[in-house]
Amino acid sequence: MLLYQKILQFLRAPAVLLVLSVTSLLFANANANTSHTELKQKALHANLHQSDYWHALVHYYPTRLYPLRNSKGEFESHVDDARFFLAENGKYDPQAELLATIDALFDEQAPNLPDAVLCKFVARNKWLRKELSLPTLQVPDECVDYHTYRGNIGAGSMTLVFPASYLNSPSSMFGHTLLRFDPEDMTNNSPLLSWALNFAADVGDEAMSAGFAFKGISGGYPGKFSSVPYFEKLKEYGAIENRDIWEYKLDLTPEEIDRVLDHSFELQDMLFDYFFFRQNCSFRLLELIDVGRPGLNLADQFPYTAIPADTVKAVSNAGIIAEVNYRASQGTQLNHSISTIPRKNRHWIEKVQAKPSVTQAEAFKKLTPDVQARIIKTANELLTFRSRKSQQAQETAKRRLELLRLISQLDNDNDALDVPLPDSPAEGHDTTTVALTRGRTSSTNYTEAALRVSYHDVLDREKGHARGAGIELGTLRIRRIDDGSTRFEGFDLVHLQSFNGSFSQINGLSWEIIGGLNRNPFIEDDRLSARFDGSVGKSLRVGKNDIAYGLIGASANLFLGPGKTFANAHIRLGIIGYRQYGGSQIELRFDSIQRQSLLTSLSFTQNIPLAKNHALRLNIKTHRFNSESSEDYSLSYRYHF
Amino acid sequence: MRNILLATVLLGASSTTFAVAPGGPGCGWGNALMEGSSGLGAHLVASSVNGTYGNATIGMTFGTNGCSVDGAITYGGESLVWFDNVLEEYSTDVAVGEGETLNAVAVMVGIEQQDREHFGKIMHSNFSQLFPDTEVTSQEVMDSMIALMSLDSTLNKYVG
Repeated sequence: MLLYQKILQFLRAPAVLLVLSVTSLLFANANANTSHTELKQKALHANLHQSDYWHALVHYYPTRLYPLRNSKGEFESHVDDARFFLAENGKYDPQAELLATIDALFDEQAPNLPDAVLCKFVARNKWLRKELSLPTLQVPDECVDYHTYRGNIGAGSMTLVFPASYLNSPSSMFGHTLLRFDPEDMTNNSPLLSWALNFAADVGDEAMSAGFAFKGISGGYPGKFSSVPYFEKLKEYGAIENRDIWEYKLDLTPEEIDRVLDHSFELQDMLFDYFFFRQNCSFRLLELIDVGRPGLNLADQFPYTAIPADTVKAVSNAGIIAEVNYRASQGTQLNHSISTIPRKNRHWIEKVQAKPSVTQAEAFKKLTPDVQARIIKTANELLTFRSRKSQQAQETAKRRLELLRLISQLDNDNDALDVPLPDSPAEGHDTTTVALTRGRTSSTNYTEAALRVSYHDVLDREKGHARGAGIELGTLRIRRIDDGSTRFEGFDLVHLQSFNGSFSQINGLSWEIIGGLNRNPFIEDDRLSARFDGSVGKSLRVGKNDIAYGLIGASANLFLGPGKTFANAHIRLGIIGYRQYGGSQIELRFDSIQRQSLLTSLSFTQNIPLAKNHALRLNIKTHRFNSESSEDYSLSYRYHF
Repeated sequence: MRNILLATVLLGASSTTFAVAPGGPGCGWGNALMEGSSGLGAHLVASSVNGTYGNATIGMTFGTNGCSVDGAITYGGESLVWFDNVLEEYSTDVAVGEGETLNAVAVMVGIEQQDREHFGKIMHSNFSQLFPDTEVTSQEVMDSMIALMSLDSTLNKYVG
């Protein structure tokens, strides 16, 4: 290498360069020049600029898909970085970019700086050589960055990693995806030493500012790929954010993985447009998989939105998942560990974590060794969980070390606390929903049609989804009343539910927010209003399958046109239960409607999944207001697709 | 054999002689190593606080943050920084006697597959020696590991 660098240095001397140029003009020029012109003709003749693979490599999309965007041509690349294009108009012109690429790679007369084009666009180069029947590319040794990148990142297998949605953070409720690359020989390696490829919005220091969410959704931030150590991501998601992690090892050949890595190298540090709902991590990873195995057309399945869970399903449906692995988050592990300890002994967990020496007490020693071991391990998990976001406290650290020492002296089955494998998110119901409802109120009967763009509510079929978490976007309801009138019933722009079903040892915060348009028969004669409703409170796991909650909150109704603005306060008490036959919710709710009397509502909802994508839902609601009662009964058929 | 030598070299280097931090001057990785690691206590209570390893996160992104990309950030070179960052998980695995981090550390120090279970047992039965108090640093833990291995008839072949 050193010798090579010296030679390079020597070559860079202007005099030598001049001599070389002249030489190449004299001897190589005619031949090289003809051949690269011929190559361009050949490429155009083969319509390479229109081929799917070229569009995948440069990330071109037809602009007709996005009529609202002001575009300069028939195609536009999602890459928003001048360094990625070799033609001036390359972002909008696949043909010009192709010709410029051939010029740069194969015109031996051009001042072809190795580190600029040859070393960067290896995937383009390899593909073009194949299409143009040129000899296979040997990437020159002086492409140090490329060789370092490929040398560091394992190319034995590729794993799609899905940190699932987690409670209490709306922006992460959809989940995230990244790719992990392992070397071929995993007996002498570990995923903890592997690299991951992550695509994220480059938000800088603004992450917590008020404009963050809006800019992320609307495309105010650029996004880019970065290589990160996988263990770091495991810590971030499993411990800090408390998300369960799914790993889907993909069934790809070494050649396909090579293509992904070569292309990901082309994309290193390149800025992309980033839109939260589509041009996000998951969409970009699908594109990479498409580059690896042409013809899967995964990205094309998501022209408008790419929800990580949906993209995982698409990969699963493509039949390229070879192996599934699950990593429980700290919170999931802790909840499970607590559940394995007999109820009457659970009080020890708190005591042992607070003062490990109580394990020497007579009363503790009377427990069976197995229960003692579970309590000590669970106490350690609890302390770990509680201290995961706190700053160092010497006293806490001492307690943890003491617990670890106790654990090291235990002689028992290490697998006793293993979390059983939950259902994979790939098995969840599909995420767009239509519902047809027939119902009756005290005054009339009605038929209602509803469409929900995405994704899941707390009562929908639980399989593959986090219990107690709901996220709904864009729910439209149209109602036809039996007297013949049809009306716009409401539109929920966003509806988030987070009912944390943890044991009492874990602080279970719950909340729910709804924003959109709705009608309320008790306010302003059922007129349409803009509504925002938020509740927050505590929840608790009771029994094996129920979450009990108590929330307080407020809502505001703003009437379009002439009318008042109402602000209401409310209290909600309820239980959400998960049974073999589906999810149910009972809730007692008190609304103090401004300047009027108390509205008391009691509701019961039962969802009965019939199959993965079909369900029935029964809803019974009674209201008491101004000493008058009213009811609303309905039965819905729900279909996910 | 090679890996453990490398680790030992790095251990010495981090406290004394390296003129340039691995990864090059100004590299987040290298700096994290040079700045020395906090004791086990910090890991036990704040193992997963974002930013425990500061700039190292960004530094490992290729070609940014002053990190050279010429191979310094490789297996051997990353061992100690990596070890420092998994110390909490490692201590838990050693206490339990098994786990992914325990296996990864064994891989890191070059233990062949057939000896890894034995390595885990030796570490497990010497928990208190590896982790005597909350002040112990990753370097000291690594030193104890090497000492334990050299005293063991199966594992001493992996030590220098």
